[in-house]
Amino acid sequence: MPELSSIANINIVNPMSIASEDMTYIDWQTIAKAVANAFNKGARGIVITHGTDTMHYSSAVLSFMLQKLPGPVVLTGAQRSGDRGSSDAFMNLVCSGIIAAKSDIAEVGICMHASSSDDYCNFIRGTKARKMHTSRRDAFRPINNKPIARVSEKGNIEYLSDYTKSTGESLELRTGYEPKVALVKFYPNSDPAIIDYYVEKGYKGIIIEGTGLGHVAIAPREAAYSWLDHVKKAVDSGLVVGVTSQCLYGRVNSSVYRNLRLLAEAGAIHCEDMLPEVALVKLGFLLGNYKKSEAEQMLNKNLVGEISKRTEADWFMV
Amino acid sequence: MLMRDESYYKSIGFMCGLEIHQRLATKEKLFCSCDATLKEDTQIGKVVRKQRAVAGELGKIDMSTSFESSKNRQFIYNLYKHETCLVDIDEEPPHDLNSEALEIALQIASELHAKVPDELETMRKVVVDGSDPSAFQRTILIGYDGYLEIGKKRISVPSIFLEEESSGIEQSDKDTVVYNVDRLGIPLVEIDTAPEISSPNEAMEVAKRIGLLLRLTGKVQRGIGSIRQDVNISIKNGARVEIKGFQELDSMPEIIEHEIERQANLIKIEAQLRKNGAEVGEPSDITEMFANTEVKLLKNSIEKGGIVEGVRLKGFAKLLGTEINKGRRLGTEISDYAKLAGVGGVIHSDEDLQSYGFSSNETQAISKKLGIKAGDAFLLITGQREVVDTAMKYAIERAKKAISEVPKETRSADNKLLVTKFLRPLPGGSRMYPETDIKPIEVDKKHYENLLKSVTSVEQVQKELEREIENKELAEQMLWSPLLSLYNEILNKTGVPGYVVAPILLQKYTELRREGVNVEAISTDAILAVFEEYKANALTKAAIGEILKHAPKSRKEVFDLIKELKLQKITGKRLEDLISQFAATSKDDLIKKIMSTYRLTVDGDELSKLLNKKGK
Repeated sequence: MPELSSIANINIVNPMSIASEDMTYIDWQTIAKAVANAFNKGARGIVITHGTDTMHYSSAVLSFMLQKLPGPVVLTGAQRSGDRGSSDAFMNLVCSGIIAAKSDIAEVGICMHASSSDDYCNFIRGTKARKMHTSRRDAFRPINNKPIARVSEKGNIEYLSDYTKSTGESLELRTGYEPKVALVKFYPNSDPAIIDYYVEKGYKGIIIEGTGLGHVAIAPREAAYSWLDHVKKAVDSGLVVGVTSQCLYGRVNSSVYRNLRLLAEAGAIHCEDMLPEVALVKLGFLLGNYKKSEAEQMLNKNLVGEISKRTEADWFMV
Repeated sequence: MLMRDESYYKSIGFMCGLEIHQRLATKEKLFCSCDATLKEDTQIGKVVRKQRAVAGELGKIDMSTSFESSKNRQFIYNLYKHETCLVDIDEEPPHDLNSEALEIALQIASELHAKVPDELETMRKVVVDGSDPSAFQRTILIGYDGYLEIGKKRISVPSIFLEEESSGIEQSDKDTVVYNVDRLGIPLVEIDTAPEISSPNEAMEVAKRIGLLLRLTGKVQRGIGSIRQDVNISIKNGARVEIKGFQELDSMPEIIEHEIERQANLIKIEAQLRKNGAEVGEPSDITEMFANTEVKLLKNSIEKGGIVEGVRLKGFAKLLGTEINKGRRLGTEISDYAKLAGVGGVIHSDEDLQSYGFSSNETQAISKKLGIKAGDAFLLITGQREVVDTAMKYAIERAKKAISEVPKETRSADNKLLVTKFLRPLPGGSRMYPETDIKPIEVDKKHYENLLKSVTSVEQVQKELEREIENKELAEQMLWSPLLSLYNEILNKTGVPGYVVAPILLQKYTELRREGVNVEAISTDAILAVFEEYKANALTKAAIGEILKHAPKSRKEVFDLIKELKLQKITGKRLEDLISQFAATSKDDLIKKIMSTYRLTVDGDELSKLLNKKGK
């Protein structure tokens, strides 16, 4: 790709070659350290080429691990293999290079095709991005957010929403991570004993992906299907339990319905408009770097843009 | 045009093989469930893409790939409701191979006595013109080591492929090509013959024979573009050239003859250039000297910020203007290369420069600037700098070839002038690599053995047609007609006898075509409806032609026409009532009177029989 060298001076580091579904938190830690190292050596911006399947987990966890960034950290990949002339890899890489080399954004984000056409890429906040299609090149969408910017191969960056710029402070690297956190989906007829399983296995935290505003079964006709006592038991056993929504779009709530209130009273923390996967890695990050009581406090407070106080009207299905 | 005997072609080292591409008539596409029947469809959007030359999995960038890619064009793909899905636009992996298409392809392979591999491996064939949004075409070798019998001669068929059709081109200019993603992915069978064809005429015969075999399966699409014949030819000291875009098989021999003529003349020019010690110089920017030019072409270009580049062609004088085909010269060939970069053409010194508006001072100045001596020629190209740079590169590449060899090229048939024109350099061998998204497919060998046992006998088909049509000449015509599968479909579905159907499809269609009726637009549904009505005794034979005059495109249109034109057949009791309204001196007189008014709605035979019965 000869045009990359006309965008920036590039130094290439290869921390790993691995399928993204095979990655663990140890790989996240390795990448976070590599990024910090590159910035400390004077890099202006970083591009990370990454498998697309778990790219949004990585972008979220890197957002937490790398705070007070001096410049942009851009994750990118391809939905079509690079052996074909039609691959999205080329434009994604060029656009990512442009963001890394030219923008004053100091955040972690994902830069991939904005549409099925090869016209421009979106740069999406790392904690608000999600892979929403198995195969399309515009699979990554901002959820409960707008793209920070869109960028064309020709080099135009159009900023679409507020973003963090560098303050000149030094980068804060925190690579602690507690892997014993689980993401559990509630669904009709789901067995709440799954919560007990994680408690018994010594887990430190659970994120529940509830329905609608953040529901799980509380008072079903068959008492065995109620999650309430199980959640209570988990909290009493010392786990941090967070609640998100499988709707993905929108904000959970702990008071609109009686069932929500009971769940909150049991000690579950409703996680605002945070994506389930983001809440998961945030909880792992918090439990890996802070005391449990601090983690509980911080889980539903915004740290790096993962929670928005306001949901703007044009943030749906972007 | 003069056709020579086979010994002549042998003496010039004539080599010729065919590649026949035939669309199959399946319900769905080859690797997805989109509609493959090419009905009218609604456009629902478009995507805009770019493509690059990539190394594939074999790590080599093909020459024709980089040639095409350097055009740096954008591709617009029009998307359709029923005929486009994410697989077509390279947004979803391919689905399983269409088993209906595989069955038809195996049947075709068996008709050509081919062997089939134990396992079918899907490959990606790199496509560089943008006609495939994925930049490759999926292709499967389905048969090998086959042959075609033509008279007493056997022509080897080394390979038969099942592959995806490309997108149809809607519009094209130097920056943008628009494709319709409707026919993309329709199953296609490619049949390759060995270069054993010994004359231009035989090329046509082989093409016709393969076309016949394909039609006889009854499972191939018909209509414009559903079958395409590419011809590979070369002569001694010439080069292999692939000719695409034949419209009429009858003009194939003449186009091939002209390609032979072109190569022979290029060989002569090559010898002369070598004798002249010909060389191609380095291009230089000579824009400055045309600041006050009266040459419109240059003036307009320079006003728009364009430049003029020139190059010395040492020893090329008179040879650029030497005719290689009627009205086409070496200069035309060079110009065709330059055009690929997006310029309108080239100006060269073997042309009448005064007609461009060059003053003799200007011509002298150019010669001086480019160092032109006696026996030399020059070439000028104008346009925007980046376009001219590429155009000059291509032109120089072609001019250099003129000294050393006939270039290997893909050329298109000009069906009016009956010559060939440069399309792109002939692709090399590194264009295929494995399709990793699809598992190998096992072939049911037993089933294939059975197919081999039941191959169609053309003679048998011909006999059958003669029996059905009751006319040897019409039967022969039907056999070779592209409408043979339609004929069979009508007979099978409506039960109308061949002696009624064949004259309509052959004679009536020809007559209507001459009258300017677009009979190709008549849909299968519509023609079936017409014959169903005929079979149900609701239409006369004469009324059929009347309806077809309006080229109906649907069943409904047929019924509307019958109503509007009052073509319902008058028969039985209604015919008796009609007879009673007429007074006549004799039976013949009565028939004459009735038929003069009711030619389209009364069947003469029925009328005559009825009158006989009544004893009139």
